Amino acid sequence: MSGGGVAGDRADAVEGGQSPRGRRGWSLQRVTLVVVAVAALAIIPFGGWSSNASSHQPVQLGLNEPNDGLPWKITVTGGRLLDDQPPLVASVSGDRWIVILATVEITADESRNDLSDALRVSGAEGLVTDFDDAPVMVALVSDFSYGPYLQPGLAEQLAFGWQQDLGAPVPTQVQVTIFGKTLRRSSLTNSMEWLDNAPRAVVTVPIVDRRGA
Amino acid sequence: MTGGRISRAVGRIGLGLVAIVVLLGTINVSIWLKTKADDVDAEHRPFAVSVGMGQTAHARTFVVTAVSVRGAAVIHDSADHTTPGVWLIVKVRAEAVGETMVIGYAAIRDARGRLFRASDRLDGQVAGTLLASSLQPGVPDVGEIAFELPRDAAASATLLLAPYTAFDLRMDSMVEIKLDAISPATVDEWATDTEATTLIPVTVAA
Amino acid sequence: MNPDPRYPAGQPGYPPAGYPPAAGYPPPGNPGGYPPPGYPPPPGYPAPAQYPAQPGYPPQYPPQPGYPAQYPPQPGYPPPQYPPAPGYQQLPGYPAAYPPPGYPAPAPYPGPNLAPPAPAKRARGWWRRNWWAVPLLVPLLVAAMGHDLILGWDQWHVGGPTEVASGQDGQWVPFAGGRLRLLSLDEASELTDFSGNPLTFPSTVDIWQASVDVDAPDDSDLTLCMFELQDDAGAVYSANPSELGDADIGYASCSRPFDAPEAGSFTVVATFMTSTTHAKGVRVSIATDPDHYAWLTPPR
Repeated sequence: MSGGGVAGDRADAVEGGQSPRGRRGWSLQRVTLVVVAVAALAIIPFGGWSSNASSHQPVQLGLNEPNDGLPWKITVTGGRLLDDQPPLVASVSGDRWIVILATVEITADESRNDLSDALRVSGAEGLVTDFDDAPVMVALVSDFSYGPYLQPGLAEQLAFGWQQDLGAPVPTQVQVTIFGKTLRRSSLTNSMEWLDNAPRAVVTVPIVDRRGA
Repeated sequence: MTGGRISRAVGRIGLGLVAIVVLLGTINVSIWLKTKADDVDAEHRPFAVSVGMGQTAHARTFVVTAVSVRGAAVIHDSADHTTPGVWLIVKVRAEAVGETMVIGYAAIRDARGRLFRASDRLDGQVAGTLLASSLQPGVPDVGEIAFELPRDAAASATLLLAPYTAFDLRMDSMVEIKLDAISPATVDEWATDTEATTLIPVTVAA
Repeated sequence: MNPDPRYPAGQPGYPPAGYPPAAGYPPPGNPGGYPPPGYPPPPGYPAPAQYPAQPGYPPQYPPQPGYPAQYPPQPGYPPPQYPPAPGYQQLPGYPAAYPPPGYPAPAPYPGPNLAPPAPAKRARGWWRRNWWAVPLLVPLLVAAMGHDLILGWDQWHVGGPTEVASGQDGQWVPFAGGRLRLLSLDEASELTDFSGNPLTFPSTVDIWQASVDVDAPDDSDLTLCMFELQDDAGAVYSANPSELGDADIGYASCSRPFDAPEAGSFTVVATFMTSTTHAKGVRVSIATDPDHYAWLTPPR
């Protein structure tokens, strides 16, 4: 197909106003080859051809199975159904509490107090929460400090509490979803931030009824 | 010579396409370069004032000296506070410069670069001891700040102190005090001491 | 050759045709080359070789004055004026006068451009085309930087109050919808805790107390005031410092105390801890107006 090349060039020169385009000319094959090559190279600044890493399916786990990741490593150890009594204080007095116990260790390089983003509960009705289903209470089991800073490298027992309406059915088992975050450059502020709260594991937790205890 | 004419037209279209792709590629490479080189976190980092233990650090709005370091396994205020690691308690002498201020940020940085914020489990750390105390210009106060650390972090620690106006550390002073090295044996001794300790209240220094 | 006199040369038919030349005649070599071989060339031969041309030879004849002579003007030349063709008007002074009367004189011919061409002809042309971009830089610069400059000034400006409302020593100062008056500014000697036990402090610190008359209508912004002490060195101290957290000193504010009269002014005591210094006056500011503060000085 390159036969038209040379004659075409000469015709170009004869037409005037166009410099000769090289001895071999732009055949369809060459054009396609060059466009594909440049497109392939131009993809590189976007991160190449690798797929989006966050499209992983959450892992199914059982009780006491650790889920490692950033910024925390979480092992769900149990679930309890509790009465509303100190140190628990419900916004509506007398409501039930669904409490998930977990061992949490910060794997990031800085103290964190955003553990209310770490767990979500599903399979129980009538939960009294904000719009994002966050636990109403996150406390350290040892001294019941609310929402404290957790330090990197120290594994602590935490209690995550969701308030449940008295009228809702008593759950015997819930699905607890463990979330993780990614440290990346924010496109808004251009500084490194922990973003993209995404589920990474689901644990089936039997709820032990400890009311009246 | 229709073959030649088609080939020329395709060649021109191809050249146009190549030009557009190269242009887009150039723009994207420049954007990528700029975001990669644009380290906002480094540009806005606080101004470090580095001293050793016992030396006076002059920050923009306060002056501080780390006096001594001790450790414990249990700290008692209204309740007993235990830790899987060890409590590191630093006694600090500080005064404001020019205007009343509060040192709102305290952290320990270990040899690996991990940051351990002052523990907010203690009543005093939220209100009543040095972190929450206001400092007056020219009036030195002495108080303690407690940190909860893994045992290996306590061996080589740098104390970081900064004002935390509007919860923002950017572009203000940050004092970095290199604490004296602590032997692992001492750390273990602290971590296994069953006797609870209490933090000293903030007092005006002589 | 001696022609036969009986036969003059040129007789037609002679030599008769067809006769072969007589034997021996013409003699060999005759009428060959002249001079015949063996004979010396006559004097004067051969012609001399061409003499090479010499510069300046032949010499140019110098121009002679009066040569070539001007052709003398001939009578009758130039020919007399042609009479105007019938039907054409002869304008007075035509064609002698130029421009014809009534017409403006043509522009004088500028003459040849004897000045050398301008050396930077190209650059001046570029500037002439693009000079407008330079003054355009000024509004562009303002547009590019102006917003950030204003933002930065705003941030600096709200960093602290800058505008002062002040008055005479110990006199009323109107501020934030109410008014304030500093009654006294003295060092406090004895402070007690809430149990009545005396508190002691190192001799390196001073405790100052300011007695302020506050006249703040309940709906005014002044009810949200904050007190600060300013000393001679310019350092600013907040009221109710943490170091006096145990002291029974009351909290200094402009809200009407429960034991104050229903209307009118009431007195507030603000306590400060300073280093050993001299207090100069009291600043009163409100959170809703970061720009302004009242400056109260004690009566003399």
